[in-house]
Amino acid sequence: MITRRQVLAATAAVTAIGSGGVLAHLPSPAPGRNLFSAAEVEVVSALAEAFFPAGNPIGVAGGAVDVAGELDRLLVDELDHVVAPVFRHLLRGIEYGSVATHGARFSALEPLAREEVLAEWAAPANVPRRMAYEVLKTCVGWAYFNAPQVRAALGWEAACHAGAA
Amino acid sequence: MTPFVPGKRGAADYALDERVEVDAVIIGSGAGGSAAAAAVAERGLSVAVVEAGSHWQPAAFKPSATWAWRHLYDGRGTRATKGNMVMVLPGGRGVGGSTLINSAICFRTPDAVLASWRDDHGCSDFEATWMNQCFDRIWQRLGVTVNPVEVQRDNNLVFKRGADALGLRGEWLARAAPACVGCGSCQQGCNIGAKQSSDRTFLADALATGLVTAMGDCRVERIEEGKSVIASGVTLDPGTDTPRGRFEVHARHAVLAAGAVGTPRLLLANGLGKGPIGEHLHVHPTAATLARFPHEIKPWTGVTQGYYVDQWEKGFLLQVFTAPPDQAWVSMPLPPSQAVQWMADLRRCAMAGAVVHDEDSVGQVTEAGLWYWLGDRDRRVLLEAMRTKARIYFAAGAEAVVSGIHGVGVIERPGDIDAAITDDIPAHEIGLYASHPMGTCRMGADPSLAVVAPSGRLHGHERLWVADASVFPTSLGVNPQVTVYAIGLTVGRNVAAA
Repeated sequence: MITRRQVLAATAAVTAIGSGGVLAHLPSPAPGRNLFSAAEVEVVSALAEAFFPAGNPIGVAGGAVDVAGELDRLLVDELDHVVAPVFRHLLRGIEYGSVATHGARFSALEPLAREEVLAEWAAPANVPRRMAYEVLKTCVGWAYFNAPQVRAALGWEAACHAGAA
Repeated sequence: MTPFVPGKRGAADYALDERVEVDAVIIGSGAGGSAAAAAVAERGLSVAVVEAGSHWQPAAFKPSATWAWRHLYDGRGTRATKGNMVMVLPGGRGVGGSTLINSAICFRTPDAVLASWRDDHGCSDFEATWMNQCFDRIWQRLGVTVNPVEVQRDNNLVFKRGADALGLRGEWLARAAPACVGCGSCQQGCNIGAKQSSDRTFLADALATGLVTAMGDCRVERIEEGKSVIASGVTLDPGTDTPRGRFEVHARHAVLAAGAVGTPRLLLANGLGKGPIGEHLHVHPTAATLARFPHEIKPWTGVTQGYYVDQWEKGFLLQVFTAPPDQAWVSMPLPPSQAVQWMADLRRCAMAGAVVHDEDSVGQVTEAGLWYWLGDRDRRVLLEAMRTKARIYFAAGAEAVVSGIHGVGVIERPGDIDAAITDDIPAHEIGLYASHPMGTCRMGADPSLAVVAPSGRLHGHERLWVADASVFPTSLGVNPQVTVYAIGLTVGRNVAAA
């Protein structure tokens, strides 16, 4: 049974991370990056491929979009500063948490195993892990759905802003 | 003192140590602040409107949710409450405040609510004749109208069709966007200037008197009250949000209109006021519903929020809404592969939310935190709102419905709605969001129960006033901007007469 304590703990943890209260070291950015290390780029790319695998119904694979590059830009240029540390710590969580459940880091898993991990994290029963999943999903989604080829595939257009972007 | 310079001013205009003297300083430029500025200035007094965000021209708005959060939203769009769930609670930042990013929906304050505020809370200044004059003025000034059917488009039309099929009372929403062309981008700022936000209406009127200086890129940090009021803070570099210099505004009176989150925080940070400051936060909680149809809907086209179903007696309204793809993605609590399929079908989807007239939820704004505990009654009302939306969509011909509730999944038949959305679903399973924070400096005659007197003056203070949604004594139950404008006109009138 999900307890109120679990929900409070999850929100407190997210708040603590976002407030910089976690002492764990975040790696330095890779050359040409605002935030992400090379390892973090790998995990973000793996997430994008897992959420939006090749052949998905949208028609644009996560691997065909520079999700890591766009998210690296968004986290510095547009999103609030509290999001980046939360997201980066959650990257570690899913990357190394997969070792316990699937025997390998998330970025090293085969596509099907990655999808299994995501489905487990998305399961409603474990509220803190589900909340962490929602953060990962949201951030990767911002970058993926910002891509012009994805918006074109969806048929989305901003009528009033034609030419203003 | 720096010479008074009427008109719009921004970061590039300020000295490193800017000092202005006026009759009234108004902190915040949304509906309340802009209307208060107009009311004070039209009575011949000088005003400084101080706003942490920037001045904007419509053509500068971009069709990107993340761009809008960075430039037009408080906390860059990350403002959220904690409690028995995490709930996103966005608010505007910029000259125009939340009117820059709202859907322009207009409702007069419901008679029963206004009567309750007068009779049960002692808000004697909300006298019916005066308030109706305010509403008439606001309606005319904002150009409030119902947009033509051809602009509403399918996202609104299918909802109406379903409501009509079920015999549910509904109407087209009146909006402050007479020239709307239905691009569905209200929450990213109206790129063509069709939305009549406060900066384009009441603040523009105030500026036209020649007695108002609208100071963008100025964040108030300190308010001191003595023989006069001094509102001081930092001028900001809009590119980085970092301080560039300092400013002071010296005035006979100060009106706080920084919203139901910003105003109590200013009071708490400066040790001003007394009573339940920051308490009694109400928000009109809601959750999304998406419905997939056999044919194209293109939910990103048409009026952002054009049609509503009135279930006031049950404690809620239902309102169509739209969202760009990245936000639609967030609102789908499905396993990843299912969510991707729904996104691929987004052009065949319609979307709607709700406005729950919250009663037993408990919310609070503190200096650093936002808290909201969805109450049991409000939770059940919200769940009924979710069931009703699902019924409406199936009645309109939907083939499947997704509610913003974790664990419910896709509902494929109307007969499954009640079994899927049960009354025992806990708050933390509901993907909550809200846009109408209110009540955190509530108005009332009794200073032990209220923060603000019926006149809008802060209890226990001579020169400090509040004119925004924080003064609502209770949850409002309808979209709040017209009520906030009316409060601004009322408090501005009273400030000028003080």
